[in-house]
Amino acid sequence: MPETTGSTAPLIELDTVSQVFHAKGQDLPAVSGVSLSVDEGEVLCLVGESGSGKTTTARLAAGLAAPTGGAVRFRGKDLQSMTRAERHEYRRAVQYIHQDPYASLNPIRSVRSTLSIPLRKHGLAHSAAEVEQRVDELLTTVDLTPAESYRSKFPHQLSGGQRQRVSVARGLTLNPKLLIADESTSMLDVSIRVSLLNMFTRLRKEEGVGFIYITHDLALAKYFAWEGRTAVMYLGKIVEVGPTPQIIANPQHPYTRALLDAVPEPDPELAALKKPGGGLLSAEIPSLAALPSGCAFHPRCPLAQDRCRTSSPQLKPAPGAEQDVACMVVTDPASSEASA
Amino acid sequence: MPTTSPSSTPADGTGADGTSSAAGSRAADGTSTPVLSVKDLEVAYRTGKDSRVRALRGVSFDLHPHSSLALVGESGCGKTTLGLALLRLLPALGEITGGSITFTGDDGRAREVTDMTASQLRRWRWSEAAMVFQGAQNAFNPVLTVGAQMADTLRDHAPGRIRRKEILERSAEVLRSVRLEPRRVLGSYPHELSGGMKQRALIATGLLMRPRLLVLDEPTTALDILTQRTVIDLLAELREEFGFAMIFISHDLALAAELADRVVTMYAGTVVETGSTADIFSSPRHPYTSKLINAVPPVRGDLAELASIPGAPPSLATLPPGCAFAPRCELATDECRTAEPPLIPLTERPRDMTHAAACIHHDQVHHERKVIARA
Repeated sequence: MPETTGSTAPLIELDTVSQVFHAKGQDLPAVSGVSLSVDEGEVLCLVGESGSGKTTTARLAAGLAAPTGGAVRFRGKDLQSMTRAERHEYRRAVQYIHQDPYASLNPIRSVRSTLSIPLRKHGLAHSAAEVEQRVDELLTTVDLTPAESYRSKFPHQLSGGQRQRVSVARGLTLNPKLLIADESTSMLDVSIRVSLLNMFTRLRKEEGVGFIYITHDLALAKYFAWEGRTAVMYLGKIVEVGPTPQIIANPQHPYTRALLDAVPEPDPELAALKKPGGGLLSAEIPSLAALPSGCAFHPRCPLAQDRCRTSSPQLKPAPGAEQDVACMVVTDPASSEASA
Repeated sequence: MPTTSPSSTPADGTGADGTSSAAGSRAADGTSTPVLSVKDLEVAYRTGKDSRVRALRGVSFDLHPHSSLALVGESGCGKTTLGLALLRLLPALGEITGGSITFTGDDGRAREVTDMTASQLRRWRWSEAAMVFQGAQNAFNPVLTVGAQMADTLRDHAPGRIRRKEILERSAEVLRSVRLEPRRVLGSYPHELSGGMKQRALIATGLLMRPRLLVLDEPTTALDILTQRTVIDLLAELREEFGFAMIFISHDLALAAELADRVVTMYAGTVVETGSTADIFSSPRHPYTSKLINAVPPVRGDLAELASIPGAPPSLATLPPGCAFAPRCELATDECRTAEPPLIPLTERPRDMTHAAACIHHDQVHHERKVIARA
């Protein structure tokens, strides 16, 4: 439906974006030089612990914050230099799904009201009958059926999982091309989480919706982004990015390995397969206000060498693997003895 | 129908409650007296002047010294209510309406928790049975330092008067056990600690009096994956070091697979399956447990399909007739909708590890993960 500008430009592209926050007279580089892109029907997972910059990156992609460096482009157009009409189109195409279903719905609006406001505002439904029909379609898409038993409900009358679905339905009102879902703070029951992911996959395959999915759990990334890519972030930078099956089966960065080893397995036999020694030297992530020198990961890294304390690694293809990794020990093992 | 310990025969509510003598309680793991023996426990919440909902219905299990039991199920199935009831910490509207909770301390004396007076409870809690509450972020008082809150616990629960020096020594000791730097943590306010440090400080506070029983409610929810790992590994080590028996409550079966000897699945306020962790994960026999396991993605191995459980748990106020899980179960037949099935013992195992499921179609539960892509 929306007219495409650049035919080869990706749906959304982050080009070396940075976001520096200022707090208490300090600079906090929450995101530094991150580049990535997602097209329609594609899925990208952003993985990392709290403070890794994954949520800030997603907010930049959603236009909820303007980057302090670099550019975010939608179909090749920089968000900063868009016309009103282009911006309107972008706002429709990219939707952010807040994952706290207890805080993101207006408590005094019924489900019908929550869903019909964007429909009317963007002129996607005019008559009352049209609105009603579209609301029912949306509720059916998110498996809130029969729709008539949910239309008039208020958030407090719904369970956490049902609220989450209403949140998703609201994200879908404008026929988006990209959904950005932040699961990093979610405490949903496992079954609700799975039903949402299965619904997202259906939307991706059947409607061609692209996804940026944010989690700290590589097991969820494996499940949801098996056909897509996963980017592992640490202190504002991508440290490893590539096709998800490779990241899971053949992780290159010591941080990715630690994240993998940390995942609890729902199977005592698989848990026993875990290789010992993937541990980190420290459990705590350093503060953005006092970033370590060189590779920011070196104080926690079991592989750290002297050179890691002084020079910072670039994201490069890992030898013998399909992904890019920002670790000198992995990408330039030969020069390890040379630097002392 | 409860399964009782020594001979693991299904008990019919007789005999087993004859209050154990001191003999045998100090015996090694083999044939010990349970630390905790729960029988036909019933809890109700008042919802109005004359109305109550039954939040727990006929819950029975034994917990042996040094063992670890996971209570699993979705939100609203009664896990937290059970945890709170065990320590008589139910909110004002909740009440134990039936059954018994028998605690056997180091002295081998069996005591009935449901009969304890307020002052007996005060002496018992924290010194012999402690709880680590859900939500590490809010469990500490924000205007007191961690050290002050640990000192309060010691003053309230240690027998006799306790000197400042001893308070400091004992607080520092348990903090070191959970890998925290006492110097840094004792003087800190809760907001000055990270989520993982707070959770570890909470566990340390629970261990101050070296209790025989530790109940943990969702000890890793809302923590980052790396912090979760630290807490999981720490709990396994602390259990060795301190020798407590542990009950932990979780909606995540993966945690049970890593930490528990035994799993108890709860649904709609009652136990629907119980067994050793190995039995439960290799061949769950209640369709609910099987579906819970298949909702958690494994990170190793092939890509397996995950399926959600259709529908939602029933409201406790309007339980369906018969098996409460029947409306969500594809194996359900008319028989399921008429009578609630009892726990049926399936595989006899020693030490209360007998595998039992409350499902008349337990032999039709074929648990497998459907592989959708090879790793």
